[in-house]
Amino acid sequence: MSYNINPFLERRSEKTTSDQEFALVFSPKILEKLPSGVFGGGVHIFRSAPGGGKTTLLRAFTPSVLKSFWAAKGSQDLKESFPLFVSRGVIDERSGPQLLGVMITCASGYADLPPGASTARDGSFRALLDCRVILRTIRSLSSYLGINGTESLDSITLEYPTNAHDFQSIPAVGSAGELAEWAEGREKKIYAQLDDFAGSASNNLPASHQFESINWLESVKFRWNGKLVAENRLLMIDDLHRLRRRQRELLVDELTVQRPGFPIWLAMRTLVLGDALLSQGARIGRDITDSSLEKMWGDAQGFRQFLPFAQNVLDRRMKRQLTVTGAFSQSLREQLAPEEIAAIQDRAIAVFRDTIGNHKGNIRYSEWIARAEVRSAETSFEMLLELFVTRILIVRDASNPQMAFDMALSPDEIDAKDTSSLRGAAEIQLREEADLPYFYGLERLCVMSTFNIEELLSMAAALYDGIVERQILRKPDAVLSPAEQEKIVCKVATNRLDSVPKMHTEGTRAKSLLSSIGGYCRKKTFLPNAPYAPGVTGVRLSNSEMEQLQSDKTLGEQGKVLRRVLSECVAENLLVLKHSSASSSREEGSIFYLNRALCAKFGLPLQMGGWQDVKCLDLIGWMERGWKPEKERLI
Amino acid sequence: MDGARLEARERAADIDMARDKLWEHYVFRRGAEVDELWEDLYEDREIDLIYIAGSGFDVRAQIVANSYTRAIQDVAKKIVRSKLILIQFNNYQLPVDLEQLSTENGNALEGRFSVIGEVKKIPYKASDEEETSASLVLREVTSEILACIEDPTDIVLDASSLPRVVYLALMTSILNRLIPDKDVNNPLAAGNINFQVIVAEDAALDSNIVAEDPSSEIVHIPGFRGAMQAESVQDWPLVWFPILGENRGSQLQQILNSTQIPKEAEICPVLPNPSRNPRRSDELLTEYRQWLFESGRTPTSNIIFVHESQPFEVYRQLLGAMQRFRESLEILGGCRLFVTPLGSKLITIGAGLACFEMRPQDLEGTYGVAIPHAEPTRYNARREMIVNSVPEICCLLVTGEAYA
Repeated sequence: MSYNINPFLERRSEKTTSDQEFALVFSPKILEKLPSGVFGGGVHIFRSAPGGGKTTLLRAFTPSVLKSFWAAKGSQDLKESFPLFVSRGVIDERSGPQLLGVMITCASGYADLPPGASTARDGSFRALLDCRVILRTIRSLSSYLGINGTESLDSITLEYPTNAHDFQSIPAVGSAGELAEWAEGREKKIYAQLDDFAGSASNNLPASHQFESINWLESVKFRWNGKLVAENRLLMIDDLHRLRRRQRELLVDELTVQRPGFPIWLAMRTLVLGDALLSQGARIGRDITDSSLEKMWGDAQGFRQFLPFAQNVLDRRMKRQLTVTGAFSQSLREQLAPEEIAAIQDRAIAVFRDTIGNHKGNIRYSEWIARAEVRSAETSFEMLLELFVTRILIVRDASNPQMAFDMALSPDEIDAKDTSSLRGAAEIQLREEADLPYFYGLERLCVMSTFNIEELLSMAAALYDGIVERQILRKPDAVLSPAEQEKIVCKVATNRLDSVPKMHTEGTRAKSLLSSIGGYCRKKTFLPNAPYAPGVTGVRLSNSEMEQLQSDKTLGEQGKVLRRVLSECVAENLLVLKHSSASSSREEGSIFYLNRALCAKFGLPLQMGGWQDVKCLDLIGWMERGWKPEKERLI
Repeated sequence: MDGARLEARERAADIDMARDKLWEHYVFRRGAEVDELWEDLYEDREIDLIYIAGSGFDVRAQIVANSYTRAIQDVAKKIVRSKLILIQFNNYQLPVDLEQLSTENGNALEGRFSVIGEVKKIPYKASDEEETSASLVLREVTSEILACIEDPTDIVLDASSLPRVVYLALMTSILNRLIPDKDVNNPLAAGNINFQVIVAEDAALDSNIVAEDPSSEIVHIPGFRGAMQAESVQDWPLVWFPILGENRGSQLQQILNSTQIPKEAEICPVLPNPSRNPRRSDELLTEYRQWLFESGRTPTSNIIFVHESQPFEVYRQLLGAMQRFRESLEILGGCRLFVTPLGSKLITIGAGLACFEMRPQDLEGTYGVAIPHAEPTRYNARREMIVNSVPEICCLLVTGEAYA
């Protein structure tokens, strides 16, 4: 039985779709953000949280996908992707793919090799990786050349330059078929021992002294039909986080030392950096570059570029289904309808009047209040915003201890003080106190994804279900109102937080810490005078606190646990780590911002601005016991 | 196709034609029939026993141990030697009351067996994802236990308080020790060594034990991973049999996330029906809707229904399905068959037997069998539910005199 499925639920597009489909859903915008030099020789590391797009990026450079791009170069879907590949020299418009991309994963059994630090143990890891690189290269080559079958492999001849390295284990055979047979046999020999039932000895595994396949891939020449083919190569090793730490270090170190003359891309989850994540250091050198995909989008220009990228991803997915017509953004209403504003208007005005009730007789605010009262007759979003801006300004002014003359403040002062952050604070307060929707629209949806495509897709999947539901229920249009969007994304955000204990090693503590940070930020955000407008969405540890955290002496076992929990939260994109510069009144530090989807869960604004200084001991308490608001002092 | 492969394929086909299913005839007893079976099995006989159990929180293991030891003490002529191998689990995060139950359970089992023989405790080390994988730990512990099995007359594996991966690994590895060649005449006789797998079955309790998986690491049962990992078989089509059980969504998700299950994989969900709860299959379909039907196009005609309480029926169904797929996909060069057991213990044991029989002797075959599993490391259940459970003892006699 075939049926329509939610196109946004097809995660891990890199594995679950055919090459042709993948070519259509791949968004080329990410190519624009790739650091210069990643197509040059050396080791290039890509890191991100799960769902950050590492494997998708790698898969785009495999021969079959490149061929799909080339075959469909004239189609509307690929009009953006194709020129980018051409400009990078990856595809030639006339002759097709120019790069032999070889992609292997580390998720297939390396970590299950017998442990130990001996040379023999490392040797079996090298041997297994070598035969897989060779096998995958030959398969990629046959895909690159468009040939099938074992017999056809014999038509590819292998040549080695006279100055090529002498290989200890890789045989210098003349045909690709013969070499594939050797690699297959060697892998089987390894697995004959590894995959035996328990109780059998496995002490005689084949071993290699170095990663010979790297030198082999660099030096071998492939000749087919008398011509040299696939001279530009790219080796992509995915899922490095699946290796044991020693294996990972060995691989990165040896590859770097070998100084390959062709590009080697290594992709891994940020989690493997562990405690090092908190040190904010980046490994960059002549032979190795290290890029975080989230940071690529997280710079000053990043969001402006992430927005079209995300929109592109969503629209390409939307085209994969027939149930709903139009682009994804067309199904999300971006403005509040007048009747929706009217529905909450009375409540908002009542909140305003209630707050400024004490100041009603105060001549100082008489003109401000009068203007607000006049404006409140209108029904518009702007009016509600102005009402709450005025409210914040009155509360701020009234709480100013400095004596002032009893002169009416001019309404012009409202306009002068009406900054974007103040409007942001007013808007989130409107949501909090008058239920005015806030988490809606495509731009905010993209912000809530915190630069992570999988998070974006999970929210889009839920929104898509809502859109289809409207259609099934024969609603007049298949467009979600702001309130409907908000309800859906808040539910997804709640599920995201609730899933933390199920999916993380320190999940229970992580959830407690995140909920505490959320509660604490709420308390600081929803003060009537909005002192940290638009709101507080993160906590900061000063450098001296960070030093305490890194040292095992001061905080003991609890410090280690906190370090682990924070590292895991940063690696999983639940917290976003940003550097905070020193100023005259404070030292440098590190800010841990909440994931933007979690901001929706806690009803916090989406801007990444406000933070509060905390101490490690506070965080330890929150992690273990949860945050509880201090009781208000009764005077 | 090369000559060696063709030869291997023909050899495998010939063997299959010639051989019935291993457990075409079987011995399975439940409830009061189990005591009758033990009576017949041990009457006037000397016993050299290896009894394998876990000191987990599931106190059903005590019920099994009490019944079993009582039976052999009453019936057997002499207990020549008895060794309890008690696996101690320190690698699970449990609430305090369940921790306490685990200790009580371990003490009770030890007390019960120390009367008739020796007790050997084997700790199950926690895996360190960075340095020692969960699959390696499983393999080491299984090997250590197998090393303790010298030349007994009886081996009993009590699956009641053992985690799924542990009893599956032990069962298949012990079977491999007892049946090194499945093609010999009368392989299940196994030198007259009686190997029993015992389960205290309470499907309602099983479905109320909540497993949470903080680890994304996939565990492979020893002997069942080559088909999943070897690069040389990656182009073979894949058939995946997820055996569904309650509250295992996050584990299923981990398998989907962590392994290379491509879109074109044939997914055949295995559901319990008949079941005590006639709606159980429907409820499971609803629970797993998101992963199997909304994010993939699993055809509903692929669903396989198996008996909730009859492991040999599960074995037959699953083995039959695997054999049919293997034959159909032979034309494509071979196939990979993955089984992920997330259902009740009896169903899992049945699936384990099917995988054991289906597994090719070596990697030269044109198909492979893998059992990928995401083992939870955090369990939760209501103490009173466990303590008040009234399970039914089920016994599978899988090798020994009965088959001689």
